[in-house]
Amino acid sequence: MTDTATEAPAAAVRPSVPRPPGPGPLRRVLTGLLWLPALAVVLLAVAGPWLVPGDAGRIVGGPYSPPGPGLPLGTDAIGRDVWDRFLAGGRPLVIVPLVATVLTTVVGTLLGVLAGYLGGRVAAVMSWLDSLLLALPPIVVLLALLHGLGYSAGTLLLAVAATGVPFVSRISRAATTRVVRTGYVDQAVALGDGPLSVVVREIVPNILQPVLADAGTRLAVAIALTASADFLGFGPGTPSWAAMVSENMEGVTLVPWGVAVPALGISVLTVAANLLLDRLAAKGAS
Amino acid sequence: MSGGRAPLRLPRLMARRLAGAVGTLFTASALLFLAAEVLPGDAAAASLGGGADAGQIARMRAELGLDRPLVLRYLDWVGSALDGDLGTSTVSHRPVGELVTDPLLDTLLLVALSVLVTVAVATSVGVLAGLRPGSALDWLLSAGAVALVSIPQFVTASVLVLVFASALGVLPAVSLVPLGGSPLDDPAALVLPVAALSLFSAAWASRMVRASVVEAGRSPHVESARLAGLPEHRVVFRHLLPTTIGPCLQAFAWLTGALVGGTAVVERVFNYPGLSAPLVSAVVNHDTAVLEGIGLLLSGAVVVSLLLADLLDLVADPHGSVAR
Amino acid sequence: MPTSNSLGRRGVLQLGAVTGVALSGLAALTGCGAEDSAKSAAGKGISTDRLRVGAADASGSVSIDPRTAGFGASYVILYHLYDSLMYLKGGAYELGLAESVEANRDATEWTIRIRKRATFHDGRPVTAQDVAYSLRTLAVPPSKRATVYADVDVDRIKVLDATTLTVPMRRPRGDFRESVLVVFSPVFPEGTTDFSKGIGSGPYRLAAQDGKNVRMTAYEGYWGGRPAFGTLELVSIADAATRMSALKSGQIDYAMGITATAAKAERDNRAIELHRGGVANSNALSFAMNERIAPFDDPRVRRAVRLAADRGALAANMLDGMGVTGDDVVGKGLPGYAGLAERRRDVAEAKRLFAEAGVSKLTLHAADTVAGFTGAARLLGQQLDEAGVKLTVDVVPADTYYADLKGLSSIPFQTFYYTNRPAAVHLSALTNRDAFFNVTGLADEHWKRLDAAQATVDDKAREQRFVEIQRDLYEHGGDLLWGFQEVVDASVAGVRDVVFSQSIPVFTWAKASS
Repeated sequence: MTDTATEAPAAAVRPSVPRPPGPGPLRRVLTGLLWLPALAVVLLAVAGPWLVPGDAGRIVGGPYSPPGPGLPLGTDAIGRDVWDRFLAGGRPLVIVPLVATVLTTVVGTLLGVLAGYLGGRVAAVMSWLDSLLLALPPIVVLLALLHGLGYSAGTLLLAVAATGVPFVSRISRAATTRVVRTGYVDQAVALGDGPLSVVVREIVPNILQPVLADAGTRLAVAIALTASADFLGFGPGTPSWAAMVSENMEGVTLVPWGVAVPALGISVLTVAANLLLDRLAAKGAS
Repeated sequence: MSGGRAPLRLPRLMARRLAGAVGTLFTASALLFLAAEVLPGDAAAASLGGGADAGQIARMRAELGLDRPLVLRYLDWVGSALDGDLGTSTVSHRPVGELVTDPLLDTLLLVALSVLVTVAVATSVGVLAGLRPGSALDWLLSAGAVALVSIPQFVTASVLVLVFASALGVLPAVSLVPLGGSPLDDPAALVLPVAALSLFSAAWASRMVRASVVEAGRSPHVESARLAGLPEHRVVFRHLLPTTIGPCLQAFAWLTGALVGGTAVVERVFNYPGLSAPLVSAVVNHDTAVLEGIGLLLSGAVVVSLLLADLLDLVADPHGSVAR
Repeated sequence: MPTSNSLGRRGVLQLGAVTGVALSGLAALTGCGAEDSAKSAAGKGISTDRLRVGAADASGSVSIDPRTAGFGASYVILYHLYDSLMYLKGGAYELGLAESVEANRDATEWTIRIRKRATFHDGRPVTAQDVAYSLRTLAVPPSKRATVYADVDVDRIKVLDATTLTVPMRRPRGDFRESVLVVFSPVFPEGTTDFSKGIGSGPYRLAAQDGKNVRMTAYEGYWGGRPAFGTLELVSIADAATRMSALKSGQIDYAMGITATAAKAERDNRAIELHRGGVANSNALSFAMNERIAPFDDPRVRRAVRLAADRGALAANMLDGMGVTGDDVVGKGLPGYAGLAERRRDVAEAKRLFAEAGVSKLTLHAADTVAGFTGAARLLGQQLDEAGVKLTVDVVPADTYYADLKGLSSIPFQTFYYTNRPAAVHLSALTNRDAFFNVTGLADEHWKRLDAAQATVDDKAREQRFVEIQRDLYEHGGDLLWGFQEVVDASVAGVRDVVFSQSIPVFTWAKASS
């Protein structure tokens, strides 16, 4: 029916962590150890900008000054406070990707359910459209949009959505088709349910699990794309963890914190995002 | 289970796939062209700099042919691209083809090496984890894989530089190409970029391999082989792994696409002489022709790798594909 | 999942083969890696076989055409392929291919005598004919130095004998040597129109080039003796940090232009040696205000900006010990500098002047044409803040900053740097009527003074006139020239006697020692 070339294997089996091995209490401790730093970083990223006393763009000393009183992590490439910039630079990596992921998932699911429910030509056209977008590497789409629109939250949203919607719609289409084939839908229709009611009551609950599981990947990709734009130098110049990594690389032997701390922040954030949606999906399944 | 192949249908199926890929590439190029040319960033204004007035911009638009209808411009562009002419850079005034040939080869080399490493690592890790699902080894490998998949590639790459180039000093942090040479002349400089690219994709692909192996391990076919008392290594190599080839091939093909995209960031970290530098500077300088040329080449690479996997799959198993 | 067994098995074998190849490839990669870096990281001195020089290349591709080449890597190549009649060595004027350069009584005609033993790379002797041809070529477009040669009456150049020629001027030019020949005077064979072969009479001859990298080999027949390094290779690497990484990993032997940060980080690394240019070979860093554009047409605003800047803080931040503060005029530490008073910060006076002129906000166009420039721009913003003016820093890409040279002259306020050169050289080459750019909006009055100075024949009197021009720029000019950033290069241990000429390293006399 559809080209296998367009069948993303990402669909059903996305990376996920099985539950830690061992007896119950140990497992709980292990899980807790995973979650605590993740929560701390997310909190820090969101609340950080409120904790910066002054202007995080202020030059307070020489470039790459070592840590000292009032400068817990030293200064960056042009003499700004690394700790202040770390506090101020996490939020963009949380807000924009989160909104983008919700948008991508909602739009993708709607399209996928529509195609899966209606089937036939609609599904074929939709599948073809998906395959088009999938032929463009996300970073190329991002750069083309940056080229045309310049850097803004809107550009990032658009880039994440354009590259993510095909994946989501593909997954929800496949899941919808499965549900339709089970016969529940026919049954519901026979009982006199309208299409909307069928979709809401029969289809959506049954496809939630794969869609949520995929949302973890979407969020990770959204964070990676947002961060990549900053890393490649297209950011607005306001503090950003990703930009910090590239800005402070040269002085990494002098003040490693300017690279290490934001890099750690990004890592924990993305891993946490993945784990969180993973658990949600698992809950949804059980 | 394979009730005899239908040799007559195979060429037709392959031709259909090929046509599909060509169609995909065409439409993808149209999307790219749209994104690059319709949106407000204007090459004419950009190439004149900040001080230009409306009249100058209008003249420059005419000079660059930007005042013609979009469809005509697209057809022109595709037509010339088919002739091997990707246009002229609006910044350096050199032909795009000439600007991107060497970087393209260098990028493809990086991708090819990374694909090899990815396939090797992902297969071993995935099989190791998948043979005993739920074991401590499985958990460890899975957790590591999820972490590596989640973390953006530039972070992984930067950490590799920190550890192997800055702290230990065992590998070079940059990739320089000697006069008239290729990146292969200094293999040591390739290790970190290839590792940075492969870590992500191997982690991702290993999950696919693991899932296939787990699924195959539960199949009645393998169960019956076990029940028949065959030695375990025989079960694994003769009965279990063969069934996982098809899905894995697809996963690897998709990864090639991800790798192509990943080079844009990873090359930057290592100053690798590939397409990343011209691509990023094309965006910075609003050099539309270069952006479109590189975008077309990169999506071409993705489409070709997908097509290859598809054809391989078709040759290996025509019925499976038809059934799906 | 339907599969076909027989084919599947073959697939496994294929996959196994590919895996094997990949693994052995990886092993080979790591193996070579260990060996290679062991060789380079040892840092046990350097052989004289070859010197690989990493250099930035601002124009995107290395050019070896003396008519058009002009930045970074290209300059280094020209210095080694071609002999110059005269050049600047450290802070002093030196004769190169020329043996003597003398003026007539009113400096309307100069007589150049060249060395007798010099030969081109193709074996032909260098003659006065070749010099005449070279001067004529440099004086007209496409030569980028045409404006430097504008006063040379090239049509009336006369060749007296094999090694002597007379060069008439359109008007008296007492400063012909320092303002023209020292700036740029390469000599190539008569009739050369294709410059891709790079035939000159310099210490190195062109061996190969690919648009990004250039290889040169020592010229046995060089009149000054064969240089010590057998091969000189120019590798273009845009980014300073990358040059440093390449040096440390043994991919190059000499990194041209590293940042103060890198210099600081490698202070204790004995495998790396720093080559410092001193103030004589430095970049003069300026925030250039254009006198022709509001609000900088008001002298009070220019003065206020100059007074509001804390030069010490700017220098401490961006130069990090590799340079000195500046006092708004190019030429510090070089012959002919006016010895101007240190400009001290006076926030109160700046505040008063800004208020008087009614200025409360300014915009600065900033690019990292020198690493750290945009950081310094932000710091200036903080300093202007204290004087009651809000500065917006408008950051633009550095790699194409010079793409539109004419456009630079219409920017009101921008980050700009000059190569620090003797005042006479700088003023003649960059502030004349036809200069490429005029970022401070100099006008007729300045050019009249410059004409008068250049026409003065007596060396002492001419120097005095140039000093007066410097004083005028110090009082009324548009440059907030706050620092001189030393050129700092780095090499593997054991590279000696690298000489700087106009901030460019020259390897003609360089030696290797352990």
